[in-house]
Amino acid sequence: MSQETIAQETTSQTTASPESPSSNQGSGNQVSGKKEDVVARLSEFPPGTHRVVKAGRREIGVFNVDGNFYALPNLCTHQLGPLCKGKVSGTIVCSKETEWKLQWGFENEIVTCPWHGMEYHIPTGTCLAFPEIRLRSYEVWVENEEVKVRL
Amino acid sequence: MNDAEKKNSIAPERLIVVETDGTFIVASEDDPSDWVASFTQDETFAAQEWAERMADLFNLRTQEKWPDDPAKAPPFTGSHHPQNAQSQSQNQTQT
Repeated sequence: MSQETIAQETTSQTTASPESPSSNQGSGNQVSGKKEDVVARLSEFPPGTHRVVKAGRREIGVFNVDGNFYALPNLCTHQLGPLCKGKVSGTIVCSKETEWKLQWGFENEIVTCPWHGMEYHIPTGTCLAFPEIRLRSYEVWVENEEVKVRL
Repeated sequence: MNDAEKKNSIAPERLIVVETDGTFIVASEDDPSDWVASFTQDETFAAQEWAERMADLFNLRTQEKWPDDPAKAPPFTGSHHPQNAQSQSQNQTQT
């Protein structure tokens, strides 16, 4: 998968800004049948960090990638390993955009499953090895200095 | 806490596979709109097998409480695995 393709598929990101629009407050609110949970205080969630939280019955990995927040299920599609407990890094890219030369790309945008090494692009949830696979990207936003996720 | 919330807080989640226009979506049995992964069918990718395998494993794990320890992960024997021809020997060394 090319860098351009992944960039075009980015659908869910929220800049870490207290001005992000939302009229809902508090942990556990129900909005149109969807549940929202407070993940952390913004001050405790600096860029380059990620954490796994329990939201309802589901474990969610929440990532701060250079100030943009993303959330994915903590499930690798391969053997259901705890994907979001894996390392966040970049990956080697070789595509038309790199003139078919090996280059390091997607710095801080790739999470690697600790079980068998499947890589996913955090902003889109797309699996690098199999672009046909995509994890859900949950909505994440910052409100009142709190990072929130909506299931 | 209402009845639905009470149920959700106790019962383990189960996943199902829903097909939509050639895409196989793994979603919550209670609320299919609450999905976790999608697998798009094409000529070379066995999307349905991947999706069904994921849902089956998840449901099995919630019943048997699979370990988070990779060293204790069960072997992967799915026919759809891209490295299936080598998977038996690799799984024994990788997991």
